[in-house]
Amino acid sequence: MKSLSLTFIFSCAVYLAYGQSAEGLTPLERKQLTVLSEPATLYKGFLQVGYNFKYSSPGRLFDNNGDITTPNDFNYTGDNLDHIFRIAYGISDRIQLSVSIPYTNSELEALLQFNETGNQLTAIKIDVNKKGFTDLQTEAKFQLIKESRTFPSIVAGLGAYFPTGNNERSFTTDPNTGDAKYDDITGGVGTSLLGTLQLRKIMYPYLLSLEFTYFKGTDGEIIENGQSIDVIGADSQIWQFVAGMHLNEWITFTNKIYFQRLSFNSEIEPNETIPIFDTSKKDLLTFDPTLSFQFGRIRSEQFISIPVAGKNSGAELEYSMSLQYTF
Amino acid sequence: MIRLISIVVIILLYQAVNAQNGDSLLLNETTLSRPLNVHKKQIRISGDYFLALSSAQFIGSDKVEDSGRTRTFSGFNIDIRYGITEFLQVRMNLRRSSEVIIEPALFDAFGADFFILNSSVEEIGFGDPEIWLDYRIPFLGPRTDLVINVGGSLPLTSTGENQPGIQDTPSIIDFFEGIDFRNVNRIKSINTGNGVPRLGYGFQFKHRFKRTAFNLQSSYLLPLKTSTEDRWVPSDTGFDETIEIYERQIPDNLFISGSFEIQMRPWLNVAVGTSYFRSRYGWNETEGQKLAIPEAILSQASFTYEIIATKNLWLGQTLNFNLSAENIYSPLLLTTAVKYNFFL
Repeated sequence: MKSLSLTFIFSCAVYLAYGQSAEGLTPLERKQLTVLSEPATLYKGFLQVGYNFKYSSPGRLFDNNGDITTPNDFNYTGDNLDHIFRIAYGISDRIQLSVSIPYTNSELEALLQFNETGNQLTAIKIDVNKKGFTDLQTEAKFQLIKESRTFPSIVAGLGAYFPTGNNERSFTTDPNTGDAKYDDITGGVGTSLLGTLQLRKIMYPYLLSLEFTYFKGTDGEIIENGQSIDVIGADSQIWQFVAGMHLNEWITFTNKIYFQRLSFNSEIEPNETIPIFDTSKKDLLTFDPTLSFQFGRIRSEQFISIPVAGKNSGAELEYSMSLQYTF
Repeated sequence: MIRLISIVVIILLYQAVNAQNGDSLLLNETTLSRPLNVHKKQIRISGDYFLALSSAQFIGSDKVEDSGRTRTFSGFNIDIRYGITEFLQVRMNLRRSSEVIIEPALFDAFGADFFILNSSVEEIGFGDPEIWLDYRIPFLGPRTDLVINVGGSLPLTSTGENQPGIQDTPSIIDFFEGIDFRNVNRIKSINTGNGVPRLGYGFQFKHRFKRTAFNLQSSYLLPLKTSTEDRWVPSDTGFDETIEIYERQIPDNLFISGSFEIQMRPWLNVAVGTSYFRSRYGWNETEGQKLAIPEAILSQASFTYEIIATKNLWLGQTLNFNLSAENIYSPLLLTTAVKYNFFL
């Protein structure tokens, strides 16, 4: 009985010591925590600088019924590239501010091909370009409840997308060939607000997280060939569930299930108030397996976003790679 | 009862001792120093996920303009190998890929006032499983490995074409007043099996220095007979499809690769390499004639790294990019590999 009691006391001591270990880290060790072991917001005074690259190519789509289909009306060739530069700073151990500067560089060649009975095949080529800085994103995150041994952390976030992108688009045609050039907007329509709520629990070497984000779009205007056009803003809700684990002390693997629903504020007329490839309602469910490497203060992440289901959205894979450094 | 417990304890002890032997082997090995075959009673399960970040089509050696054409290519490969002895391993390989090509189709009119035509070719599914025996030549010393491979693929998965589907949807295009546009898309679905067994042979060679090594590998796969397949052919005046049975010869495939690797850290190995793939001697029967499938050649360069995450679990990535190509799609291909090892 005595030995049993001693064993129990020893186990409790080890458990308490382990529980305190995260709090007892040096500043350098805190900067080297992995994506699964770091707290939900940055520690006070920490500055994180990051770069994120995303690539996808146009291809199959989910139609209005959720079936996979090929593009209607046009054939596409092209690449979608997004570059996002991000800075985050820990105001205190509970409050984090971040600013993201996205840059898009998408080139799409759309080929409209039609035939008249008995006549020769006619083809019109449309070069769609979308290049430049898009809307500046800011977000403040607050740890309402810090994670404890039994309870998850609860984090609330508030943010805004400011219309810093280019809101001018032009559509020009070559009178000889009928080919067209379409320079699309990169943003700049109106300010969007977002709110986030996240529950996050570390059970080393595992992590579970559930996050909900709501975007509230506002109406705005774009300039098309010198003329102002009113645009209706879109609302969007995003659910993310993450289950991750450490493969070793510095490599993590996470499974993310991502769902986005986008809806416009009211009825719209296609091709008049929104870019030509958008539709009024979009759903997208993806599975994003992610590998993250923590090399000291440098973190490298890669994931492939695999579309599982959707409506009026793309059905092709997206590759994402990011690098970040904590000062 | 005591006898039974004793037997169980002895078995568990044996497994524990054996596992320690295996674990200590894995603990002391780097990517560079480990033999090309797995050890006796070692099982390695590898999962590779590959994704084409972009693709270029080559007809002859000329790159074709991608006007209106999209190609997406991804999939995974599962490799399971077991060490029968220290010098002989058996390995099984199963690959599932998804390749979709959407391009403008140059069909003639089908009676509609106006229409837009796409042609989609989908090759989605498991390929034929491959089984190989790899014999590592003994007595070459710790610096040099030479492995002889003999195996092939078995025609266990579906082959031929499924009946094409037609998607006919209204168009949003209203460029011309009073004329109704509509979208017509012919989706051709091709199964990824070969339909015939294939025989394969090859070798792997590795020579190590203190922190570097050279690798050379080659394999050759050839079909053992011709196969009979189904294909669907659209009529000249519409989408009435008729089925045609034809004979075909799967091309022979030659693969050669070489690489130079550096063990940067005990847990990190990087390699640069080059590879050459050639596919030829294939033909399709068309109207009683044997029509040769154009010889396809793909030369690529690669950059690879492998990380020993734990002694049992290794992670790696390879980026392949094009050097030259003929009659083939050349992808910028990213492959992510996870390898798990344990001993029986």
